Parts: sequence; C-alpha cells; structure tokens
Amino acid sequence: MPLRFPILLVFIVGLMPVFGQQPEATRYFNLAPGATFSNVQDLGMSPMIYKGIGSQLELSVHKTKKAAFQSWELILEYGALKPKFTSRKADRLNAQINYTVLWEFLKDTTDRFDFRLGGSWLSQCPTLIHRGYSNNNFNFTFMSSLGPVGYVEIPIPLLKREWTIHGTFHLPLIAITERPSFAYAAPEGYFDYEEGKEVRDFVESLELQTLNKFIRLKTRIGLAYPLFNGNRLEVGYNWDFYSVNTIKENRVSGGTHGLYFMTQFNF
Amino acid sequence: MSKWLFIVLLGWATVGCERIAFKEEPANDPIGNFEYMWQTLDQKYSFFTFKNINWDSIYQVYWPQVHTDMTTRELYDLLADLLFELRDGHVNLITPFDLSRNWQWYLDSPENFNFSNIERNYLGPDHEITGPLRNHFIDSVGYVYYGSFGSGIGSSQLDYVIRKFKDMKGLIFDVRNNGGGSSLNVDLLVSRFLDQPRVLGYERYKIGPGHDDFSEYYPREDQPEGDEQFLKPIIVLTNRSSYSATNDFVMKMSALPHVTILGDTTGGGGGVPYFSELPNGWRFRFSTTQTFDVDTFNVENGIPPDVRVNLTKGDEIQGRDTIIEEALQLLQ
Repeated sequence: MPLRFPILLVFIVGLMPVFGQQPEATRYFNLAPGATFSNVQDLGMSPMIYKGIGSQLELSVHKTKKAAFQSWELILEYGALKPKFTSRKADRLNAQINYTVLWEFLKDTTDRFDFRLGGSWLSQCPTLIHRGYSNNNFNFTFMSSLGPVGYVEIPIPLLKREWTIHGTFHLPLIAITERPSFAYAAPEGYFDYEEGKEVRDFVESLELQTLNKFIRLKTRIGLAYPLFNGNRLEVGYNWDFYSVNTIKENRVSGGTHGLYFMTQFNF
Repeated sequence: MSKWLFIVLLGWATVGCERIAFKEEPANDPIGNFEYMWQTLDQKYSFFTFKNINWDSIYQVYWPQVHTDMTTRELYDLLADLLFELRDGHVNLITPFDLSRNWQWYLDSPENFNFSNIERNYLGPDHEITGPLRNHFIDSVGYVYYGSFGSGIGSSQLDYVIRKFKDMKGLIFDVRNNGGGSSLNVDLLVSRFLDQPRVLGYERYKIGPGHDDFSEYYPREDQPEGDEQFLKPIIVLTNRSSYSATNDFVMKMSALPHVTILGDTTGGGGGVPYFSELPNGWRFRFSTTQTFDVDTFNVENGIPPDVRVNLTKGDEIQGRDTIIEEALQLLQ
C-alpha cells in the first residue's frame, strides 16, 4: 500500500489526462449507470464502519475545443450500508456536481500517450440516514473544493479499432465544508435558527478547509471503444475518497468504488 | 511493453485505500461496548456539572464489574445501571429485548391525574375531539386536554378551538401526563397565545468534549401566528409526567403575563436527546443541550407551578379533579 503514494505523486506532478481524444471540437452527452461499493465511517453518528453496495447514475457533457477540454457532471448515488455486527442499515445518498477543465500539456509525438493538466471544482454532499435514530439520523457532509487535475490517455489498437484507456486524478487543495455540529443534528450556524433564514444559517455554517483537515481524492480509469457513428462506449472504474476532520471527535471518512458503463452520444 | 506496464500501474494507483483514514472500531465485547458508551457520554452529555455527577468516579465503580465472559443480559443490566446514574428521562439504552430508563422523576411523585374522572365528569359524552385536542365547555370556561406533543395539530384545528372558546372567561389547557413529542407542535401552539413576538427561553449546546464546553445562550423567540389568538386568562395544568416537549411548552407559557401554571412541578427534560450506537448494535440516547427559561433558570429538573395543588384522594373517589376545580375557581 505505501508504494501507491509515489505513484500518486507522479500523477500530481506530471500526469494530465483529458477526456476528449480528438484535436477538433467535439461534444458528447454521456449517460453512465453503474454499481458502487462504499465504506463510510462517520464518528459523529457511530464508531462503526458502514459498508454496502449501491448504484450510481452519471449525466455529463464533455466538450473539446482546440486544446481545451471541459466536463460538466451530475452524479447521483444511492446505497444501503450496514456495520459489522447488526443488520440495521443506513441509507447513503449523494449528489455530485463537478466541473473540470483541462489543457494539453504533453503529447507524445508517436501517439503513445497524451497528458493533460487542468483544474476542477468538485461538490458533493454524501449523507447517511440512520434508520434507527430519531433526532440526529441525517448525517451529511457538504464539501465543495478546487484543485488540480491530471489526465492521461493511451491509445490501444485492438480488434481493428482504436481503443483508448484513460485515467484521471483530482486532488482538491482548498474546500468549503459543512457538517452537523459536535453533539447536535444541525450545524452551528443553525443554533440561532429563525424560520425563513435557512440560507443565512447554511452560509454561516460553512468552513474554509485545506489539506490538514480536508482530503479528497477522486480517480477514474476507463476503457473507451469508438462506434462507427461517432458515438462511444466506455466501461470504467472510479474511486472517490474523502476525509473531513473539522469537528473534534467527529471525523467522517468515506470511499466509494464504482463500476460504470457509459454511452457517449456525439452531438 | 512499457505502455502496458504503465497501464497496469495507472490502474493500481487509482484503486482505493480509504481504510487507512478510518479510526479503529471499538471491540465488540463487553469491555469495548462499556468503554465506548462511557467515553461518548463523557464527551457529549450535557448535565454532569448541573447535576453534580462525578462521571470519573462512576467509571471506577462500574469498570471492575465488566468482564469479557459476561452474558448479554449481564452487560445490559450493567450498562442500564450506569445510565441510571444520570437521572435523566432522555437517557435510554435501546436493545431488541428491553429499554433502560430512569423514570423516578415521576414514579416517586403523586400522579395527580385521573383521566377516567376527567372523561366522565368534565369532558362528558358530548365533548369534541378536534385532532389531538379533546375539548369542552365547563361552566363559563373552556377546557382542552392535549395528551401528547407527538400528535400533530393542524392550524385549522387550532382556529376552531380558539374560536369556540373566544367568548369564555378563560381557558384551562391540561397537559398532565403529556410525556412530550415534537417541539414543532410546541411552537405552533404557543404562537396562538402570543400578543407580540417574545423571547420565551434560552438554549445552549455542547460544542466540545469538556463537561462545560457549551455554546453561548441562544434566545428562543416565538411570534404570534395563525388567524386566531387567545389572549384571555389561561391556566395550564401540569404534573410530574409533563415532560420534555411538554416541559418546553410550560416553560414558554409561564413567561406570558396572562398564563398561570397550576398543579405540580413538571418532570423536566430540558436536554435534546442525541443518538449513538454501540459496536454490538445497541442504540443509546442522551441529552446534549440545556434549556433555560427567560430568567435563565435551568428547566432540566422541572418547572415549579405558580399555584401548587395536588389531587386529593377524597375528591378522586367522588369523581372530582381537585386541580381542575382549583383552576375553575381562579378563572371565575
């Protein structure tokens, strides 16, 4: 396991992948259902690690123009997780809204690979709804972050078609987060709750975080197959990990592994 | 070859290793379950200082009794005894076979409530049941019994009841044996008895693991709402089983100039319960906040009445409710 970290550092420093393979302008609308497996430990809710399978659905648009690639993603997730020693479950819900922009950084002249570098804005709100609690059953972690992105793409000729394998690595460096408070169902900004002032309370509860209290790693590796009509099919694996430690004794950490099958419609 | 090696490394590097960020789970044995419960309460329970509870000393008493070959029932009994020390109706251990509790705050006191007498001799067969509000005229006074703040009240139901009694000399609002429920129903009800926005109490929250790590005091302000208000004299009837959200209701009503609290001290329960769970799957809940009235009196142990009246046995045998009779006298 420790050997993975130097590999990850190589990606941060030098690897820059992008989703758009062709140099001319292209646009894809993508639909990607998938299956997930999640591990979550929310110490504000329980000392136990909750695990379980679930599903995800991604709706995204990829646009390549000149040397820049842009991606807008909406990802919805649901799973039912349980701890080791009981059958009582917690429902895991999550919605992600992500934006990525990448520029060509290094392209091998023999077309062995293509590296891109850029930045991404990632937002999500993974939530565990504990089925056995009353007052504090809604355990959420809102996070919105900015950071660099690396992408690598490698063409693979196979079965008389040009497949591509690509990998993406996000490393947010700065984020705003929000969690329920130390021993109450709502964040601290809601302590002076007034009806109709929920937006004010939400904003007041946001905290600015950096790597010492907030870590998120998001990676994807996919194998794409071009269809004769300009559309593409892709199968892949993604991993999304976060750890937020803004409230003493109430750290939350989670990792979701997903397998997806994507249909990319060229428009 | 190097391309394929690179692809393999790419795949390997992107696979998850999130377990290194997780804290080690407590052991699922009697010791692990005891330690986790004791520690969680130590960090998050809100009444150690107020109730003068030495939680460290209690640990020294119970820890020697924990051993790895305890039966499930033995562990439950020990943890239940541990929680009993907190003297808090909002503290429970919830298992598939039993619910631990400390209800001495009402079991050690007179009941001061006989609903059979109320239903037969005050509500009568023609009383109305407007949602959760059982209501009737008694002489020139309105009488309402509300049995649980867990039962929601609709705005139109409140409008109806208030309109029904608007020409009466006053209103008796009986919340005896109302063990609590939703604070939303408390706010809804109180808003119908207000002449203007008022601060009716304060609350503070545990924000850290120290026994006295609390937030500042946050005022609880209520506003008049709804189409109908009742601003004539109101007498709220209470007993020791008026607990939790009912305690909140009584606290807010006691701050109003046209309200008198009559009966016995309420049961208290000023802390909002917060849930957690043990490694073996048992859940437990405990108080993590504190509530204060407008005079910053901590209402955890109950709110004393303005007029203390107990049900007498003689009256009860004759079908009379001493507390209602006293309320009627005050309103005449």
